[in-house]
Amino acid sequence: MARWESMLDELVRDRGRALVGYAFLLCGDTTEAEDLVQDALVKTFSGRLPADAVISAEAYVKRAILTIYLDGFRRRKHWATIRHLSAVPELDEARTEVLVTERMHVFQALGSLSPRERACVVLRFYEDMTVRQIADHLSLSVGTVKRYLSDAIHSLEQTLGPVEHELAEEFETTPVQGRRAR
Amino acid sequence: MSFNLERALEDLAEAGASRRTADDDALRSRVAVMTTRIRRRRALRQAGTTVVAACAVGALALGVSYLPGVLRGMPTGPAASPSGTLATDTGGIDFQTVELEALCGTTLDARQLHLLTYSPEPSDPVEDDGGYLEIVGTSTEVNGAAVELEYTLPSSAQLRMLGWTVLVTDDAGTIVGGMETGVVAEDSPSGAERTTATVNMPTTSCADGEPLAGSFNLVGIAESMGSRWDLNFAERVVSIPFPVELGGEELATDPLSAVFACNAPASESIHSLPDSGWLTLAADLPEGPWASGELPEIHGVLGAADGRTVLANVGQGVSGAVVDAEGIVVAFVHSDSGDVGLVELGPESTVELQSPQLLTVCNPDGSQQYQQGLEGDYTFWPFVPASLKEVVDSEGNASSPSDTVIVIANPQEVTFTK
Repeated sequence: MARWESMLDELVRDRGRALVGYAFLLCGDTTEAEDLVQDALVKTFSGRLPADAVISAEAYVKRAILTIYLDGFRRRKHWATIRHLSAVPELDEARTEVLVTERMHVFQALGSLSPRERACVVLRFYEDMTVRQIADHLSLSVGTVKRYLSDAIHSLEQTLGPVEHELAEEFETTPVQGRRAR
Repeated sequence: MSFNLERALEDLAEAGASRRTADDDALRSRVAVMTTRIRRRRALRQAGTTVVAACAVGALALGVSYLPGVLRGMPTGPAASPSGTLATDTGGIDFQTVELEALCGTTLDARQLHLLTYSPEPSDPVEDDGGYLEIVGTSTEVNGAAVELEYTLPSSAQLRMLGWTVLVTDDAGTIVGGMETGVVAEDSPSGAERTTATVNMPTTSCADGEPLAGSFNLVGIAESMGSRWDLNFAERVVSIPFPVELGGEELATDPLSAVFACNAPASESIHSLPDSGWLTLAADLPEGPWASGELPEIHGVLGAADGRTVLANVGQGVSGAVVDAEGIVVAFVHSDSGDVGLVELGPESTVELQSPQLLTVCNPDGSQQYQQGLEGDYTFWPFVPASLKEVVDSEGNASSPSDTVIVIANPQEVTFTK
């Protein structure tokens, strides 16, 4: 078995679920997230991985997921159903209802964002990247990332209420008028 | 109270990764499919330079035949070539293919090139953005220059024909080079989702034919026709730019083809020093038969001859040409390792090479396709491409060649089975 094959197997076994979760935050559909992860894995392992470590490969796969998503992953669609989101085990009914309702709101709010806004939000609030890191990751200027995050948070707050974040002052830029024709 | 978005996203990611049924291992069940796709790509990456035209994997994935230039009655190859209306049943769609001569010197406008049209016009709006084209990568390090493209078909589409074009643009987006690589014809099987091709990289100017040198972008174009939802459709899809460094003439050379090329007689003078850059290769071939889908690893030892010390970039494995009883190259075995490293070889220093292997079989048009079904008795010529960096002879005189040489070991008889 080639080295990359064992790395692929290990990565899917140990981190596949996390990768699908990451892709899901971007595309909003479990099946599409799996397709996205599959394409990203194929892209990554078809190339030349500079390191052996699975953790390094995971970073490359995540970058590929983001790239494919932003480049227009053709199966990306707006969410159509959230039935599968209710399949979270071991929660009492009342708690489940609260969580599912909250997820619905978050899900809907994310769906209102443009792909780049959504990517910035995921990188900032899920991947815990700084604005500078996001800018490097997406090959954007820091100012552009701030603008995306500012617009995104304004949009999210319309659905979710005030959003808790530590870098509020970082996003204090003027939203671009007319950008969001949704 | 403020909303905790970080916690909410973690919760949503966890929920989104949960399958709605007990089928919680969906991604793992796809590993075999992914492995096949990756093997195919890696095999073609290694095979890139011996591909004359295109569509090796297109033929594999779609189960179609490759007809280079036949449908349009035009040449294919590294030079830009004109094109026109596809001379086939267009299903009522007047579809003009891109014309490289007309595009040369213009600014690339991907939006203008994009096309998705139907006949008859669908009665309901089509909420779909069609196919997706990606340049997967290029191979330019040891084996020459090739471009790998992957076209994801529009959902529910069945193709009747497919053509590929690769454009070269400069920093300003001006089209400075390009190559059209032919057309795949006949029907794709129902349910085919994607097809790929490995094509020669255009390396010359479309304006004056001179070699291009410097930083450029490659842009792929796939043009397809077929049926979808009982409608005929035609699509032109353009990839996002893929940055590439072109080095002029040297990228276009393929030293391997001078020794082993698909459907051509194998070279008879294989041990003539200094053709191999004063390098020697000894290969230890496993006993056959070899299952063509799971080739055994080949162990090789690379060394330097005549007391010389050689610095060279080499891969991690041994490749090989498969030659039939008539002396014709019918297939290649490629090292499944893309890693290339600088090694020092000398009187007392050798390098051991070993890696998994992949098989590509020669098509009648000279292209190769990843295949697991070779059978029969053949002569196997092990070889290793090496890019020379420095050669020091036994008297200490140094030279700095920049040649890529093919180091060949003694041939052996091998039996392949499916």
